[in-house]
Amino acid sequence: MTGAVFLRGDRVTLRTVERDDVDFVHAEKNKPEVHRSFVWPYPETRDDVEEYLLEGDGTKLLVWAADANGDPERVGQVGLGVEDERTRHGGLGVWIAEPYWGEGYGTEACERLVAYAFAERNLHRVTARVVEGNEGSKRIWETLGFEHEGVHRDAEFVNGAYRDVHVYGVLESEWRERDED
Amino acid sequence: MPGAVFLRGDRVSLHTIEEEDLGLLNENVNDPRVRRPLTNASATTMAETEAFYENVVCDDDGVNLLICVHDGDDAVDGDAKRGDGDPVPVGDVALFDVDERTRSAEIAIAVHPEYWSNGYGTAASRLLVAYAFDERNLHRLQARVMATNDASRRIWETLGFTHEGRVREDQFDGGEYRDTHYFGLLEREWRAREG
Repeated sequence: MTGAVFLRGDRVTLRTVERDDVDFVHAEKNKPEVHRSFVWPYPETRDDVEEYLLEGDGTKLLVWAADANGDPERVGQVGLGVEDERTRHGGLGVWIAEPYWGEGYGTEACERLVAYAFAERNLHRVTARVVEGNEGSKRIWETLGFEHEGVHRDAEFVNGAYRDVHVYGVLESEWRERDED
Repeated sequence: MPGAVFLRGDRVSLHTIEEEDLGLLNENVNDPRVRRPLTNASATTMAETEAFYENVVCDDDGVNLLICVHDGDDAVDGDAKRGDGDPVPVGDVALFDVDERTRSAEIAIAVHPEYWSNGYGTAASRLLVAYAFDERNLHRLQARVMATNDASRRIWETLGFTHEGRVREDQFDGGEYRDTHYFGLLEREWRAREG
């Protein structure tokens, strides 16, 4: 079963998470290149994934794009978590299955999700964190006009070494200005 | 009489938190002068503080300790001069969000306003930072400070933390969005400094 379209972009659609998505997420999110990209060095069983996807916190959406024949296929997942309702502060996460890296799907999906965060959820700012070395993710936030707000030194450990964590943020006022341009 | 001494310094000592200390902690967490810089806008009942004590202080990987100043210290005024020789509780300090994999944790402190400006916060934080690196084998410590909180900021600067960024407008106080400053200290920096 294909999830319902919740947000629509030019090349991607963001659809509701359904039980049929569990196998895709389970297979793709465990792969070393993917689990290392967002630093989650713990194997997840199918049950873990099912619980996280269907019962976990935050707004989760599956990212779909058109395959070579123009048929929709799953390419990744995005998430928006409201860290604090009082300060209207949210956090973003994204991963794209490795075969689809470099296509711009992550950027387009995140662009839709940020627009939703401000236009529908009334957030004041959203934050994204990237581990040093993850150039694909860095590019997403830079492309979307996020400001680089700091470097938390040695805050992560990937591939045998401590790595810096970069913090990016965008305010609702900045997003509106950008949308008007 | 405060709980057992866990870390000892010249001017302050850090003790285990006992049930009789919860009144002070509850007063602190509700006092606008303390809770607002700590970005806590919720009222905390004594029952919630007791639950925090059971669930976090007594049953968590972090460390929460009571800051006590030594009785007779001239810098202490008011109730502190009880003259009974017991250390006087002035606040608490905590190591939390301990991540064993990345060997990192966050540090935070709350001193009762009656005892501000005596350097107790810095002295207590120094003891806990040394403990984090020397006993807990941590690699990195983080501290967060709201942009308006100069006193806290000075603690981390005095202890050699590096300013690692300014997250814009993620807090709200006094009718305005406020920035948060991030500070970090690595074990090698601490050793170079202390050695």
